[in-house]
Amino acid sequence: MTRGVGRRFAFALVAAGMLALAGCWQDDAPPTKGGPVVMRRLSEEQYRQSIADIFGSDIKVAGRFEPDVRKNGLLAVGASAVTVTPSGFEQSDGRAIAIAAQVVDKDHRDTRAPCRPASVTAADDACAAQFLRHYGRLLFRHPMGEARLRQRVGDANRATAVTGDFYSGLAYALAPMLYSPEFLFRMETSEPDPEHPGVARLDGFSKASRLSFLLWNTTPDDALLTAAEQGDLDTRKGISRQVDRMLASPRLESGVRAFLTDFLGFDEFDTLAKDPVLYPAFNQRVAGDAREQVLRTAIDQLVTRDGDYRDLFATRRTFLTRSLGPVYNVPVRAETGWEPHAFPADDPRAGLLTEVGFTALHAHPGRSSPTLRGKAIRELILCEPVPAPPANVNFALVQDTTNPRFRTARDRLTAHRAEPTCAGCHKIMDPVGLALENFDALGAYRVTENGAPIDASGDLDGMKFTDPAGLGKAMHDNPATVSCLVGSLYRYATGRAIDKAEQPWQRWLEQRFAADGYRVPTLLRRIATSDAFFAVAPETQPLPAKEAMK
Amino acid sequence: MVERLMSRAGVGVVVGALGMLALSSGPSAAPEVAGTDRGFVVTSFYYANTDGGPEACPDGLTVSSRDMYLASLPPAERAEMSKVDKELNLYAASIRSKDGKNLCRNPDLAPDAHMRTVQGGTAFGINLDGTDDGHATANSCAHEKFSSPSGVKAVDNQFYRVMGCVPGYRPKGIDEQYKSAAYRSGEYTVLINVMGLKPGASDGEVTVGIYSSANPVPFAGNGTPIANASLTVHPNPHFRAVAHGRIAGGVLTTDPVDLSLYHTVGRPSEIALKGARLRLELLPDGRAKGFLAGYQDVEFLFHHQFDLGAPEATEQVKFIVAGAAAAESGYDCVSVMSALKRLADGYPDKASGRCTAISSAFRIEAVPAFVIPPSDEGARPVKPAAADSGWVGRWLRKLGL
Repeated sequence: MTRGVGRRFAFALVAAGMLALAGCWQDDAPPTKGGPVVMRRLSEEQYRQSIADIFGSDIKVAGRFEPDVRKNGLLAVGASAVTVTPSGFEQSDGRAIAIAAQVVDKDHRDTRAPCRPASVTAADDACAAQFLRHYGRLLFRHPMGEARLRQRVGDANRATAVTGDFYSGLAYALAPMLYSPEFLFRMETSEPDPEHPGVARLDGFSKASRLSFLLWNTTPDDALLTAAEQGDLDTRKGISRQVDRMLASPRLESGVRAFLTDFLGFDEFDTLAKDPVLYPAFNQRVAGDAREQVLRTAIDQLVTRDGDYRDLFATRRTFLTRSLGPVYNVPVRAETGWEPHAFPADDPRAGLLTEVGFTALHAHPGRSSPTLRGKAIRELILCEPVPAPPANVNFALVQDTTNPRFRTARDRLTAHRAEPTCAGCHKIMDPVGLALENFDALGAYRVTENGAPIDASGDLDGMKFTDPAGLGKAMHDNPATVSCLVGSLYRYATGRAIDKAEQPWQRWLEQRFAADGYRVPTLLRRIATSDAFFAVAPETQPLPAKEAMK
Repeated sequence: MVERLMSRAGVGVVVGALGMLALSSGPSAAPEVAGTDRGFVVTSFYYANTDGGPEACPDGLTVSSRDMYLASLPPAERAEMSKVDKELNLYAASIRSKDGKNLCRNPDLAPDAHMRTVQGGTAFGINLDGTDDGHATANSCAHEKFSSPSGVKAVDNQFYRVMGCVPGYRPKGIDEQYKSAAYRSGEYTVLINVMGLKPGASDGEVTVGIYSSANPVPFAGNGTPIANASLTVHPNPHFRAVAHGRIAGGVLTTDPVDLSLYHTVGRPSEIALKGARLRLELLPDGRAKGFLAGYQDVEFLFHHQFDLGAPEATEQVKFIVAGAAAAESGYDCVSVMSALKRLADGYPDKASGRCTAISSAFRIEAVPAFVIPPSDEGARPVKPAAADSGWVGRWLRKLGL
């Protein structure tokens, strides 16, 4: 998505407004000691984007990646708790060798190597060192130590001696760097904070990585690494300068996309399936476009328009493709690609929860599910964990959509809730999930189920509504919608659950988010320029699991 | 109509500049966007053929040029040419004239073998000449009428009379299989847009757009047509027509209009119908089915549907392709052209009085769709320009393709 002049102008305003903020450095923020340093495995997207940024987008990245783990509601937090399995290492090894070979092959060597060897058939210490120093700094996100560099140059020279090819030697030395833990993991290190005696902070290179992966979802660029090398990231002014540069970049969209993909649980799209007999319009292209539609809608609202996060649940603006047109039953003029679309004011669709990317994702292959949709709203959007169902629960009544006594999902769930063991959780999930019953398992609009009219009324934490748009309004006005986003974004940024001692800081952040008009780029700036974001506290007090998602 | 278009633009509905041409009937008119309109994408499109019962072809089916050629050879040569590895040679040889010309391009260079044509009285289609008995009129030549299996009288479908005994053109024959598969795979697409029905009315006068589209027909993986897809009208105005029509009792019928539909027969082609009429049943579930019928100019039809081979192909390949189609469908080009001329029933030549076009009917099925106007860029090539000096090349150049 291209951003126009309007977005740049908006950022200019934000940057100008932030000058005062930079000056006082959010001095009214409650102090916090932060949390522990973390070691996070790169996600597949981060790996791919890092390789593209370092070596070029034409370098192919093949093979399977190890599955991510969701923890405290986020894959970003789970990334701090995963390792590389033996089979994952094999995959990583093979991928590294393939990438290294591409970087030095005849199609790429002249543009990717910063020097030419004196002879392509003999070792060249200086050129090998220049090559490996350059890429080592980018891959490890900090400069390579001289001893390690010499070791790698030695490896290159030995391989060149065997193969008689300088570039094969380079590939031999480069490949281990690509499956090194220092590349596969974001390994943070801390140092004493001179401004806060007794408190530690991340070192400059760890700060650079946190900033880059938070704002751009990729490895730090040369300017950021240079800032770390020069100590700029040890000053608030230096950090602000880099953060403003990164916020003004088109690459911010990648960062926000990555967060939303994690926050909205979009990894579930990998296994999304629908019954082709019941839903012939569904295919993998529809699934991919449904996922992309939500992200485009959100990026447009949050980044391009720099708009109110809460309006995501009420907006009529979205984007469509020809694949999605039959599901929404609206004309799409663009023969290829995306086109903006605005649902009319009287249309039942309003907000992200009424998009196919939500309604189809949180439904069964052959029928809708108010329970799954309600659970997703509670857990993903409101950060309210819902307990798993009892092991002995009988779902027969809910699953039988042909029972003439219970023609609608509301009928079936009402009967199901008569079971005392089920009632508690369903009271949390169903009233919100039933509001989306006008959308079938694919997300197409309907007014009846089995010939019976659908009642989409309900309430969310006491706020009553009568239709899907009403649910969006209730989500817009619910305080948990805001606190969940703020808490999730901070957990995403730090890769860990929020520490008990950080709760006052989070409350303050929520207040500032509200004062800032619920604008996500501004929230990102507040986090990225805060002391809390870089503070390190070896001793932490983990929250109870129930609160850890908030 | 102008006010309607302008008011739509006023509420934000994009109407292409070419859309104003929709005010006049005939080719080159462009559509407007839906609204209260009902759009359809045709999901099944092929000649309205039928088995016709035992009386249809009482003397048997037609004989292909290949079989006629083999029968003309001495036994030893026949055995040699019948070998599998001689198949391509046989295809080519079977349509080669004595002086080496392609008979599917030059059908007048050999004597008519008088192919078997339909003798029965049953066929699908529409009454195109307006007569009950097929007597000659100022616009038609005398011919026998058909009745449809459902009892519709006075049906005109002389193309079926010519091709109804050709094995490949009979129901599920190889020509139907080939062209239906081509249609389903997206090689050509037909759109219908029913415009102007008053809101809330089920019957009334309408304007009907009949267009080609370069977008493939949307099908699910299990073969089910996908309803409510958006398809864009063909960028070339040549493949658009607008007719006046009416809906009565759930049946849409249109007045005659000349139209051209983009088509492929292994290469770009065209179905041109003069005085075309549509008869569509609008089904309660939103689908539609019926017939599109009209007169095909015999010369144009023959050269677009029997004179095969891609423009850029060598002459030998054109021999093989046209010969293979004739062999596998079971006709010979010379007899087909002769029968088409003999049984032509429309558009008499003023000088000779002989009819130049033949009544034809296509059976169509359709699902609801959004018919999208083409962009304002106007006509643009959809296929590479052809360097062919024959019919196809002249046609492509005429269209600016």
